[in-house]
Amino acid sequence: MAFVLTPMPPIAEWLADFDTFAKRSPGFFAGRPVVVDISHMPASRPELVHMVTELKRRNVTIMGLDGRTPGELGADARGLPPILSGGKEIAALSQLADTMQSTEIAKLIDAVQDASITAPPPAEPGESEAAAETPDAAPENAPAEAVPGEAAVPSEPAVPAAPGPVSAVTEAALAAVEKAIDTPDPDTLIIDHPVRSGQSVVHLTGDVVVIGSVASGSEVVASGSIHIYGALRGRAIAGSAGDRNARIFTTQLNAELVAINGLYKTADDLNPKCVGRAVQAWLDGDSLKMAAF
Amino acid sequence: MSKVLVVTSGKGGVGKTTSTAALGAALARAGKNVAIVDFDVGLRNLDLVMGAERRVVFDLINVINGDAKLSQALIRDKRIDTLHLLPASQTRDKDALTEEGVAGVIAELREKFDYILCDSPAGIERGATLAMRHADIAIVVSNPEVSSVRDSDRIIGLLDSKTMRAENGDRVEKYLLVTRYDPVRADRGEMLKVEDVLEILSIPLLAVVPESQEVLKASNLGMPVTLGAPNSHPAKAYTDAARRIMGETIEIEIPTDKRGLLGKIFARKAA
Repeated sequence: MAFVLTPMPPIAEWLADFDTFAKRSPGFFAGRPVVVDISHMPASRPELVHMVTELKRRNVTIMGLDGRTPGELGADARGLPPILSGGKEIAALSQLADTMQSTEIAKLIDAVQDASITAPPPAEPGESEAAAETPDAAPENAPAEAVPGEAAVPSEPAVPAAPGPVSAVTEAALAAVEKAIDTPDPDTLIIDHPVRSGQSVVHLTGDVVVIGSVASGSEVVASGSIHIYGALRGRAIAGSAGDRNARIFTTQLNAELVAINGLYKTADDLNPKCVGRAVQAWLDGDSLKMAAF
Repeated sequence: MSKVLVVTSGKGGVGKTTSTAALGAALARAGKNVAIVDFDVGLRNLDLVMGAERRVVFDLINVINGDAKLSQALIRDKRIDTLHLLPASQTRDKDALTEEGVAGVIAELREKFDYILCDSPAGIERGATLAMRHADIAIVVSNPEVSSVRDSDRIIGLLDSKTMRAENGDRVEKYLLVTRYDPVRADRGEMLKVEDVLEILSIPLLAVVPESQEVLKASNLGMPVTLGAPNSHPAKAYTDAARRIMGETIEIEIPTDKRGLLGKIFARKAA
């Protein structure tokens, strides 16, 4: 699913709230498609550019804007993420993008090719031009050049006059390709020394392996699983970017907090049978399970 | 080759100043040229423990600001010729310490002395980070109780990231000095055992100094315990620690009895 952010003026205050949230859930936005609803924002170009720049600086992947029509923004839309049109398409797009497997991408690229050939011409040439100029569209464009017929596609999402199944598939395919390009392959961070109190290890693109202990008052955050060959006395937060399959392993559980995909247990909630032992933690439905080896 | 040591802990009151004085005196008595530097600007104490409080004219801040030469500020110990004290300023605060100033003073000290011991203030702010900045060896002082151990862990993290050595991709040698250890209370479970502290901090052990009246008595007389009560158990632990710093290999003794039967060699069964 895609997340919809709704910035409210004054934007500085809203960004401060956003930072508070992002700080509490590190990695929440990593790799997640985000749609920004700008219906509450003034339709002035400097404010919109400022807001988009600030969000990008916070590593938010903005898939598109919503809440205004391209007509309302006119030339102001230049340089901004594409304006999406209508909730339905957005839902289809985000859903598809989310469930997409990288192996399906090749298939989808074919679909894109077909779609781009059969897609109706843009209703207003001015709008499609605006989208083609979008700097954001350029990086999507570059890696896709290997596929013949692909170059024409990025102008599609900004064409509100051409909805319908063809356009939806095109956008979904594009989103998937873009996601595959933007999201680096999961990698593993190996730390071969103890994590000391006050230190924070944050790795948002895969697993973390710690050879040594994770001290009380320290934390390890991973988008994937966490493996600790030593005592876990601090906080371990796995699946921080929304991975339900992430797990936490430690050779000695004395954690202050264990969390997977936002579900957590504090030291008081730990099963006494698991404390002090080699343990793995995983998600079973909506509950965080732990078992000693 | 001169070595810069920092005596640090994070937590206050664990025995940094006492240990700096005792180790400095022990190294000097072994014939080394030693300078001990008080970095606790505003709360200086090393001069008291060294019995030199009446002889302080210039201090570390004066040297950093160029008001005095290093040789004017250094106080030579009356008991051991090779032991020198560079006191901290009591009237200034730690913002008066500058990075370049400290670097300059340390470089000058390195030319004259074999060992430079920096007595770090408590905490993890400016004073503490500047005290550890140029260290080759860190002596992490910890009491056998959880808050002290956690603070020490925090300090070890900083030693691995904020020191010159760490920034140059090198590592500061780190050793654990457990002080105020009471074997009877450790046995009763009222205190962490040495092996528990070692397991949490996972750095090599330098020495275990038993809790003793002698330390306070000596401090009150302005004597490092290694000079004031050289035959006491704490003095022996510090003297052994100093010999290990100089590169000797001596088995580490863990105090096992309140009457001070220092006999058992450190092993799993110890304490």
